[in-house]
Amino acid sequence: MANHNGNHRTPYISGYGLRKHFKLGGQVVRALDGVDVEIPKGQFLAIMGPSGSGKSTLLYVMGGLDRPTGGEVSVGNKYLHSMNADELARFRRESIGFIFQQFHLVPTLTALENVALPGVFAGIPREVREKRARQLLNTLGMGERLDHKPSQLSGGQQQRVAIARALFNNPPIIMGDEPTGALDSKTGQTVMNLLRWLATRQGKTVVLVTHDAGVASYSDRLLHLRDGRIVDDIPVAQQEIEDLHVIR
Amino acid sequence: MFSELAGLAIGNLFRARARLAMTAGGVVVGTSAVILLVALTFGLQRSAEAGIGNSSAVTEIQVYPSWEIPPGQSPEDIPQLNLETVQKLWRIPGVAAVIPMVNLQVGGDLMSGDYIAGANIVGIDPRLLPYLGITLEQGTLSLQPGEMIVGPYIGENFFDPTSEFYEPVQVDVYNTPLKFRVTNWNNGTELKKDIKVSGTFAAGTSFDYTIFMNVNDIIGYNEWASGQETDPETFTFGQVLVRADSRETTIDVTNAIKDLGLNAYSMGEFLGQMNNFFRTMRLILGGVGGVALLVAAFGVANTMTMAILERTKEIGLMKAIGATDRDVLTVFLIESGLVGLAGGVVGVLLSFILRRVINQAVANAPTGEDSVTNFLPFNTSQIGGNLIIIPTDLWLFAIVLATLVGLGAGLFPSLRAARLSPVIALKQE
Repeated sequence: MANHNGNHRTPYISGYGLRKHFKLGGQVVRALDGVDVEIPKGQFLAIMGPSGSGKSTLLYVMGGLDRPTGGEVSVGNKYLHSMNADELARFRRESIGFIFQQFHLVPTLTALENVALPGVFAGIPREVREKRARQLLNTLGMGERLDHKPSQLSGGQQQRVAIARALFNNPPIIMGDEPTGALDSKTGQTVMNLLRWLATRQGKTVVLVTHDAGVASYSDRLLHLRDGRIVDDIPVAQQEIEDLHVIR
Repeated sequence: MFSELAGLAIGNLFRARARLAMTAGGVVVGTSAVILLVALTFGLQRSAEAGIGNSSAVTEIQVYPSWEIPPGQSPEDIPQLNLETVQKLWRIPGVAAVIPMVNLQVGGDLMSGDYIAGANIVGIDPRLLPYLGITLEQGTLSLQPGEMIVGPYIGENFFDPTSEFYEPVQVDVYNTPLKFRVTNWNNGTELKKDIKVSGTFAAGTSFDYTIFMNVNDIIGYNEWASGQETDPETFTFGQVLVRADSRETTIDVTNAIKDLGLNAYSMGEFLGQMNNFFRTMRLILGGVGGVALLVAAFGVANTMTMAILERTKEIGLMKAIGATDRDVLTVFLIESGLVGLAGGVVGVLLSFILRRVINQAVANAPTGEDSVTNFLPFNTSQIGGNLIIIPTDLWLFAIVLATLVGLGAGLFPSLRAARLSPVIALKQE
């Protein structure tokens, strides 16, 4: 496919001929129907499309949460399509930080404990976990609310806790499924700025699924999906990409 | 890692406290049922053993000549209870003592003034007295010539031989001057001798109606009655008692005696059968309690299934942030195992409380003809308020069992949780 993103480095995340077919009520649904995609390291990519276009499926396939029924997907030198369940879990733990529309915070845990949760599965000792979680929450301006339960936090605050959790294992990639979908536009902008900052300052590769064109404007590049295929691949804000290279 | 996941599981448990309490409540009832029903069999077994007599009765073996002539042998070949047999018995491994006894072959009575009392009068070697298994209540364990050791019920059965009616009279045999009267039925002659009671012993042995005398005294009376000297070649003992050195060896010794061609009967043998009976009873009642625990298991399975349905998204999230299937399985298995463990521990505590209540009720229950406890298959006074006996092994086993029930009940729901596809779990509404 044509490479519109303005740089010629080897792709960091790549998918070739990705298909995800499943049967639903006797009908074959083609959530992905032959998608080729290459994402360089440090890119901020937004995936748009109507509901049912397969944009979330593409995100989850690239994030190792879902398996394609056909094609190849790799991140760095790891081939996700040939990994078993445990290897995928390890890959998600080390390489991906997920953010969701509904935040998915554990209601019984405090902000601090929620952020530290990935450390439980990574086998990190409690003191180390909590120290790191505290640092992350401080960095994201949540230092005053470490011991609040999710129900005591606003939507924007909850999403910041969720972002801190996504950053806990210091993954190179942040993936968001409609991360601003449950937030008002002002709070949404704050969250988007935070993600933008992560991409430019910390060199994270950010992949978001959204149906909000305003959100897409924060990205370096915009993919449009329809019926499981990429119908448009647009570079945005070229200048920022080049700025990014200067910074590095 | 495990402790981290356990911490997560414990936190989860306290989310739905009411549901946890009710689910664990089922396990509590099941555990208590298992413990109390099995503990009841221990109590009944103890009371049955108490009814048999004191512990010395258990190692006691009665030896008799065989009643049957084995094929190909003549009646002369059958071993008799003679000196040779006694020597053979002494050589059996596990034998603590062989106690040959000589019966008085003439009439013998105790006399206190005008009152007389009959008894089973037996002569034994004084050196064997310690092996009889009797506990002295008064006096010393001594059988010099002219002395006797008297069984506990002898003193209660004196009567006036001239009276028209039999009216037992109690005589303090230890502190009353007594005479011993021997009657030769062949010619009607009598001997009356002053006798010294050197001791009396407690009830509960097979000698409650027995008077022990020095074996030489008895042989002397027998020779007086028959007018003949005792011939060691043809002499036989009236009865022989073998004392095994422990409860465990009693059966082996009994079998070895039977191998000598003698008949042997021991309480130990009967006890073995009784223990088998109680073992079976324990299995049956334990099984009945187990049914209650099985019902509780369905409760745990139901609760875990509900918890997993409720927390489907959370399972998806756990997987998204790097939990493996095994991590998810571990968290939910620890949760269900803890429900079982908590129910088991509380069940044990409840059992201890109920043990106290039941045992006190039994101990305080009135005894006698009209007693409400008469329907029970034992004498409540005999067990001393120990109807429910919970050995340490039993309650430890119950806790382990309850935990395993929790784990088992949680296995399938937890496996389902572990295998959930993260994408489907996250999208669930």
